[in-house]
Amino acid sequence: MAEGKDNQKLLEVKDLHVSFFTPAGEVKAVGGISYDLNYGEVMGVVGESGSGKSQEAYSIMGLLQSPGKVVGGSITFEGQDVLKFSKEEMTAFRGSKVAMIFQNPMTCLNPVYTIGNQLVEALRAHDKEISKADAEKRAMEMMEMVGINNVEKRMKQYPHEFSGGMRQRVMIAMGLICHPQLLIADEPTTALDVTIQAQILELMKALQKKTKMGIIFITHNLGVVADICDKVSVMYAGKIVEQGPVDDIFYKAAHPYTLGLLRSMPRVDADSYERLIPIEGTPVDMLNPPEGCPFAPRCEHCMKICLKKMPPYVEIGENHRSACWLRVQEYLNKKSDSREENGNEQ
Amino acid sequence: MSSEKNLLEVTKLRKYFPVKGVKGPGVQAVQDVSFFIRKGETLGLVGESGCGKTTLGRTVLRLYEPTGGKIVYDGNVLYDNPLGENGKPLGKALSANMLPYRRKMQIIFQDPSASLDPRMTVGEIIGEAIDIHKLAASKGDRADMIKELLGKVGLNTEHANRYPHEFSGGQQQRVGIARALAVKPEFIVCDEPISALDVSIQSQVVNMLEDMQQEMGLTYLFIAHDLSVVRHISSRIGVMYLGSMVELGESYELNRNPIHPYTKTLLSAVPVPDPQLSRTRQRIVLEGDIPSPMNPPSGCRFHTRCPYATERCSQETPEFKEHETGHWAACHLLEQ
Repeated sequence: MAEGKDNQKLLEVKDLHVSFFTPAGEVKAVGGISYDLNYGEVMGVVGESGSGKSQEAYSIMGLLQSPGKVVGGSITFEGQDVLKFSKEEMTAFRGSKVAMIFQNPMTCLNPVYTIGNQLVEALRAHDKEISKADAEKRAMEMMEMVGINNVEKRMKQYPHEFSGGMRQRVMIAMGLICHPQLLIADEPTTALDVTIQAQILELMKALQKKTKMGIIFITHNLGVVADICDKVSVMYAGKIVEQGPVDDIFYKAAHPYTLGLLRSMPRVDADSYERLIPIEGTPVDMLNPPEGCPFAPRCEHCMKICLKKMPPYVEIGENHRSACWLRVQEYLNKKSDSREENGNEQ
Repeated sequence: MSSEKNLLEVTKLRKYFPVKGVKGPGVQAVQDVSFFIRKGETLGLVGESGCGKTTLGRTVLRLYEPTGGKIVYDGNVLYDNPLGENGKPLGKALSANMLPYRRKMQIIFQDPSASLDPRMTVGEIIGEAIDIHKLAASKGDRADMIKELLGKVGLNTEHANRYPHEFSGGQQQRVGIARALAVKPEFIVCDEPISALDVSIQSQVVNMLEDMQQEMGLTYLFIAHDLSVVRHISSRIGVMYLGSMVELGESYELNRNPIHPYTKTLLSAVPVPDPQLSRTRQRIVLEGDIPSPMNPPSGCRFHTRCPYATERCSQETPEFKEHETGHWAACHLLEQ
């Protein structure tokens, strides 16, 4: 358990590059991203399909599918380099330290085994000592913890006898049965209805408070991010374009893509009609990404330099950074202003 | 409910799907739903998956043959089959020949890649509708019409020779829209037209649908599960639960002042993209799952999950009636 480790570093990803070597050429799915995650923190990863948000998570779990490969960077988990793990070490690491839940729980559960069977298997795969009876007891406790009633009967049922929301609860129970320190949730509520989504989000928040684990929450729904996350990474075409505490991302967004996403969504609490402001153009073709900033072709503020060079990160506020040439310019202006002021004083 | 300005009037529409090997009515997908759509407006339809909103949309177009009820389009009866107390038809069903109405009533589907024939070029897909209704006087005329339609939905004219797989999801949906517009319809059922698209593309398509409506005076039945999008695009919204319409009202009124317990829950469950608001907001979390439409609960279909349910709710089906001007709901609580 991770109690008493608040604000200590759990995961550190540095300059991670993931490429897919397809017959049509190299696709740089993840093009150099960095972030940290502390114990007890929930980080949202937002992006469109193809932005690399899932591949980045798969590489932490060592689940990248061929022809995908980590081609650069490092992933450090509790001081250990995950990328240097042997196959056995990775198997032990996966499930016991890090667990993952997926978008479609039906495809992740084996249809020919009972739910109880699968939960017990997940536990005994990592805890070789535990007896079958104890494992069953733990499985039942976990099912109660995720809000499944009538546990004894439910243990003997098959996945098809569960509804979508209940299956996702089972997946969460299975993920948490070995007390992982990090949970990666890949669009866990996207396939669910809003009322069921609300149930699952409440459940995840409660469990997170209880276990103090870190969560990486991958989604494209900004409403869900606002609800559950402490900090957010916004991804576009394999790069993190903006990163910061959740309030900064929503109220002080610095990157045109983040701003565009926020503006293009109708708000459920709006009181009158306002026309939506869409982001024009189409997402990047990852086989032929543009030179420079990947968002430049769709950006309304695009300048000459944007088409030539990828902008560096600029600190906007505490823990809040963004990769945009506009902010670089502002930053330089501010610096030269303060230098002038200093000069006048002297 | 009758008025000259109503383009579509639906009364007690019912659609059951029989299930093989099971006695009884089968899946009760749409249960006695009544509503009307005014000319030029957008009626939004929301509800969870399995609540019958898509079935309702398709039954209105008679893509599914109704089990009972009445559909009137622009003063013409498309289908009339009143049912008695026991659910048996009172007389012979009256049903109109649909071909002339197909030209006026169109549909846009949810999954653009599944609704476009992969072996036809975009030009052929759009042209097919023009041919069936004999709308083009000559070959050149037909080509011009296709070009104009492609331009209207923001595609290039050379796209007419390409196949659907060569387009992105958003562009495919534009082709789907062009196909629906090809016959110059008056009424379009938009069945989750944006749910399969990326966030940044959704608003492009929503804006385009709004522009088309303005320009061509279209009337929409807009089906979606995303409440914020429906609220944005619709003049009025109907909320469905397990085959029944539980509430219907002006879009902003329904949002500000929902009167049915299910609508209240649904509104509170939608995540808001505003961290401070979502921290303070009270969320009503429903217990349990949606019951099976094969065997729906007696009385009010929502009573098994409703926090305010009384005994009466499990026995009597509440009537769907107007509680305030233009604001309908079906709930026993509102009558006290």
